[in-house]
Amino acid sequence: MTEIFLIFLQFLILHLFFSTPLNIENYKNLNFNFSLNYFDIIFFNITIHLFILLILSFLKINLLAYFTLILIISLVTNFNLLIKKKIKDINIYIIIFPIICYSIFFEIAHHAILDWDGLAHWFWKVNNFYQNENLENIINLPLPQYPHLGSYIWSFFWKNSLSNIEYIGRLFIPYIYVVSLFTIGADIKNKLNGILFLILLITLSFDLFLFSGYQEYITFAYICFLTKIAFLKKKNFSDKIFIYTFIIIGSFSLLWIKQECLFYVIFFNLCFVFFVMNKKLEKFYHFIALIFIIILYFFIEKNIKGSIEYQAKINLSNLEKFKEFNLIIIYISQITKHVFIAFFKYPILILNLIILSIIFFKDQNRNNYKFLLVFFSLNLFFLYTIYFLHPASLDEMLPNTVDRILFQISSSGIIFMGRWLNKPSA
Amino acid sequence: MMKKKKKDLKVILILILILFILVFFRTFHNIYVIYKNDYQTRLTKSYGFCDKQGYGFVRSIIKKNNIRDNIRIINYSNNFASIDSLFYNFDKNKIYNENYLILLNYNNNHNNKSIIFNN
Repeated sequence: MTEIFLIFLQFLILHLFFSTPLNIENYKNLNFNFSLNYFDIIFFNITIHLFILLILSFLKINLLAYFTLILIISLVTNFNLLIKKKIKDINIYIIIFPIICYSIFFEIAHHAILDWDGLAHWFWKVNNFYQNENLENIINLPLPQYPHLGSYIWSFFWKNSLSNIEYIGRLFIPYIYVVSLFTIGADIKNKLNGILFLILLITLSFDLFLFSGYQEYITFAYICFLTKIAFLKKKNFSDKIFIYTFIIIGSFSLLWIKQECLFYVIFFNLCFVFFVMNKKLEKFYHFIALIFIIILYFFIEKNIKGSIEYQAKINLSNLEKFKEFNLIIIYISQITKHVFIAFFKYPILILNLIILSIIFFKDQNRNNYKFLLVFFSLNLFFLYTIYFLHPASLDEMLPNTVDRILFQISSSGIIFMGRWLNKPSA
Repeated sequence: MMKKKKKDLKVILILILILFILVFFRTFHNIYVIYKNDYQTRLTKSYGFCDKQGYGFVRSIIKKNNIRDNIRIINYSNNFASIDSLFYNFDKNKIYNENYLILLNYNNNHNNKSIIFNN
């Protein structure tokens, strides 16, 4: 019974924690020309807190103080909002949101275990932070080259929970995942369509295996949210500064989630610069900011870990084996086979293909189509390239990795489907 | 009247969808399992006692012998990741105690170590 209570409490803690600094009242004071829904504001807060936690991970600061401070501030501001009856637009989405969160939380709690990567790589880092070891100690752990932010936040919520139950710490992952889907779903004015859309997205993208210590859902959620805010209509200077800043902050945090996120961030921002941004000067500044965060990422990583390495030594000498043309054909066919398998394992990828075809035929804004097509194409190109350059055998690598690499970017197309459902003809 | 009926139908549909969510995630079953089995029991069921990752076995011998050092856990089955990370203590003085080993799914001779328990 205590455990069930702790799960209930953890949702409230997570929700309270991510309900500040922005809320439905104070964001209006910023006078933006675009309207944000309740879950957009929560995800903006998630982006802010994950970024702050990333900074704090480099410093030796008492995290309990930070955690308590945020909870108190959030409690006071949200309580004030409730008293002033500012939360008057409590709708069905706000009722369904905790139901979905709790359902996933209980599913995770039932199984409670960590799967391969969780045990072999990520939990070492989580345990390191949980037992008050610092970031520098990561170099003594298995696969130190893996980024630490996901593990750090996992340990943060584990350490600041009322129990020593490990999975309580990683419940922030399903929370972020559900919030990201609601940022799209809650925009749909017809509530029934909205709920059906959310259920469709969840049934197509939910995989308990990925909640057993993997970090894929964090990337999935970030890509979803960043795509959404990238396409918000930005009219004046303050709109643009706000959105561009969050895209850069979000991209920077994403670099510290998984190694492949470096490529996702580069591809996403390049597509954003070329197909969404209009003015040349803005494009230039955003591009400079992108280069700056990547250099900063490498600089900090090198300082902490001594060198920047990947799981396996990837270099051009691995291409020497492709002197035989047959081998190239075998590689392409094998990778393609697993790409197809991934589409059936995670049907949200099929949904993205459908969305892409609909955009091609129906959407008048060609830039939407170009953005999505180029983003997927670059990621596919990256996927094929990485397996050609990787020294390990394909049989070893492909079945366990292709689906996860593709899954992480599969949230980028759903924003467009959410928009169509909002059109009067839908 | 028509409008009210339409609204009622919408509420019923939303309730059915909520029920679908609860059934899809097997929420009631999950709550029942969490209520009936404590955290450690569920972990032992999932990771295995003598089989799979041998979580129950490792935990029981650590508890029984009041072991405070870090002991290497070697799983001879390649199908499972090691559960070393679940038991590792990062206290600087507690590097691995090389006098002991915990062997899981083991069926060979390991002459230079004395076997305390065998799973």
